[in-house]
Amino acid sequence: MGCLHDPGDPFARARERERGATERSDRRRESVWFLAAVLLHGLVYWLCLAPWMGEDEPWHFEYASHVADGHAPWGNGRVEFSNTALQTGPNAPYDERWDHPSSQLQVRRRFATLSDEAIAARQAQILESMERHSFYARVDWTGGFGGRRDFDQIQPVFTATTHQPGYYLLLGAWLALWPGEDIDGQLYWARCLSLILYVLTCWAGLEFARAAFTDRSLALAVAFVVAWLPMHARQAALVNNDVLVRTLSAFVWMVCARRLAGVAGTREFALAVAAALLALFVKTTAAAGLGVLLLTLVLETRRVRDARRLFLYTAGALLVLAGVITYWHFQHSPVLPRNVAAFLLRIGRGLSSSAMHELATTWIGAFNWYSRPFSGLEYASIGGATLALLAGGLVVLARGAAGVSRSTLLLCALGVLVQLALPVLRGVGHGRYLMPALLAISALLAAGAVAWVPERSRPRAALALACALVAYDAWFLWAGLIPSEYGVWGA
Amino acid sequence: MNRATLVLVAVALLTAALALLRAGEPAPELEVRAIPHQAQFGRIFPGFAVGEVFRCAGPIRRIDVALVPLGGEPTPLEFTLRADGPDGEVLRSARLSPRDLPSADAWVSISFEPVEHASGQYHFSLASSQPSSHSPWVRYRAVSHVVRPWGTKVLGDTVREFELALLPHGDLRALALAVDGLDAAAAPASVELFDPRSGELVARGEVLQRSPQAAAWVFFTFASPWSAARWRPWTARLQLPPNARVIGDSSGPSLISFHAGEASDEQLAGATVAASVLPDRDLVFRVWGDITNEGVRGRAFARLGSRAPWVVVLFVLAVAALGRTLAAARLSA
Repeated sequence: MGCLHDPGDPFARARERERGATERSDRRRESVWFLAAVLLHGLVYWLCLAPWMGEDEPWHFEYASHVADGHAPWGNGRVEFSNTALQTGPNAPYDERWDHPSSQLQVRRRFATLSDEAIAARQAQILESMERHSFYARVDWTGGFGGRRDFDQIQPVFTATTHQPGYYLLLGAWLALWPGEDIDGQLYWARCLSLILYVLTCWAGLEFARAAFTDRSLALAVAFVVAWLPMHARQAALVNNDVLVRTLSAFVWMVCARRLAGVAGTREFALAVAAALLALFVKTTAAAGLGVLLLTLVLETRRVRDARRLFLYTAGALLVLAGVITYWHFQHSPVLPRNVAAFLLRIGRGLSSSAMHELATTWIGAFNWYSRPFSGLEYASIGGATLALLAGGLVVLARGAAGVSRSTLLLCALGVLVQLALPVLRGVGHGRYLMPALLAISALLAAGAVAWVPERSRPRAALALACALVAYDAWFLWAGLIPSEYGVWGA
Repeated sequence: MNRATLVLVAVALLTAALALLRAGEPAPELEVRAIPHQAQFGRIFPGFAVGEVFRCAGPIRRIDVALVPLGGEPTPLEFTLRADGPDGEVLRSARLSPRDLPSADAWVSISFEPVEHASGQYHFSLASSQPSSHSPWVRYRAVSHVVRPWGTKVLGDTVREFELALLPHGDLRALALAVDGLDAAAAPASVELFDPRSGELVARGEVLQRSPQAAAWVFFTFASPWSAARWRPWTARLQLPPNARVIGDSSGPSLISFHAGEASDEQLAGATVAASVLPDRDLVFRVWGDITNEGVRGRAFARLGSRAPWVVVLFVLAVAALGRTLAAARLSA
């Protein structure tokens, strides 16, 4: 037996190599099965989610479809109004909004080369498809009848064209690969891109977890949460810039975990910085990515003791943020408040119990553009379990556990707080705004479920968590999404 | 198949089965789902029963009507189900006693022996022998914009003229004003819109519902959708019979504008007041048919169509692959 540990044993190195090869092979097989599961799971949602049932999907699709037609989304379209409030009274000056739906004027502002007729025609095409696919029968707050002529008649003064063009450039280029498709065909292709991004996110989640947790049960548990959280899996099938910002953020989180684990080098970290910067041109909810990168450097600095470099990074991040905010301002982003009073009002609204309630319920599950929620009991059960696991994750962070990188878990906790601050600052609480921090939330949930048990019991705990996730997903799908979207229609 | 895969697939199938069991609940044959409820019809007056003409295939056994209390002692309501329309043969009738009426916005169910009429067209109505304490809800078939919600003040004559501005849509079809004590059967009621710059009359809406209305959203319907309504400031002038009172708050009358829209589901022919049909609006109600109908679950699978088996197969395969991931990681033991 002694020869097993004998450094002079001529077979020790061979055995080591063999063990390494077995581990790599196991890991590869694990990844392949996991990604197969993710793809199949994504396909379930891709098949189930009815056309136009992704929140704000018509507006996002409209934006990308114009890009696909070759129109550049750089702004500078001619409009004769600013973001100022409309004036009333007999002496109110002429305002172009009197004669055009606001949603169409905002599209014109984004696309300098688009004519009013083309903008109206595209909205009409999408509205026709929505009516054909029973959109109004499914979304209760629309009233149940059709005959809408422009997007304002679904939600006034709303548009996706105030968003940065990152996602729409990608989706537009993707749609341009399939010319000649009608609106329905384009929508399906657009959703295929979301499916691919979902798979990529889950892959990033698996790699993130492997870096964060040396315990394999725990790492797999994190990846399972990422892949099987129903409101995330549902994003495999909807057209929305949230899907790209989530994938880019997942990549940033993955690199940060690898950096803290000592695996990622400078080049990889530079790629993460590039991804975080790119994400800022996709959606404002990506702003937390800069904070995550900075926090990673802070946590790492504890080891390298390079405070000066850290100071420079902080200054750099703030400069970038200031630059991006200026850019957002000139892109007419509604995320930026007009004045201090509006900003304070938003914070008050963001911290209100109704906003928090909406944030929680739309994270857990809500259907048909949030017009059909789960029952109170369902929210209490799932929300209670989620909170218990989060609390468990924080206990693991405080006390430490074998196979857990505490610095990564601390990064997760701080990253979630930073992400949570964004919807509060915006004053609007939707669960999908937390998706950029999905990996961090998953890490905390998985740690709360698995890390506190002895190592030998962790495979069972991971299996138990997988069972709970599978049950949650099955209930979401068969008691929530499918009955709501297909079983109950209004007249 | 390894143990983890078996366990996960069993959990998934069991949960899905429980979920589908719950989704086996019956589904209404017809339901006007306008959530949130926005405009109440007002009190029901003697001789002016309120109802709806609708089509439904197969027998019907229950009708639910969304009712809201308007104040006062609860008064009984008479329910009548007829064939074809307001003048058709009486098929079923029932009395809703004050005890049956809700104390807040809620559905009231009227169950009866299943009945089927050859034409498939029915009419139900609610009548009252005195101004009713409860009102049904109305869904106007157009895009609504609440300018001012139902207020708490009765406004005097000074508000018969007010500014109408910041409507987010063109194609104005109707304005609903909160009015009490209006007898449009006795005298005409209208709203006229003027250009405040030139004083020119630009549009005129009339009350088509010729009946007494109290604690009601009164619909002033324009002859054709008025396209220039969007965001412009206009002056609105109300012409109401004597004794009619406008309800609102310190900033003006309670007001909802309705834009665009068109005919709804072909199963709905419109709301009725006495013998007249108002095809631009419906009551908020639902109709239940044969108790053995396919239910929510059956309808969901029928509408999923050919995708349904694929969804089931992929759902199981995805869970099985997840189990195989655990097995590949050698964690399932």
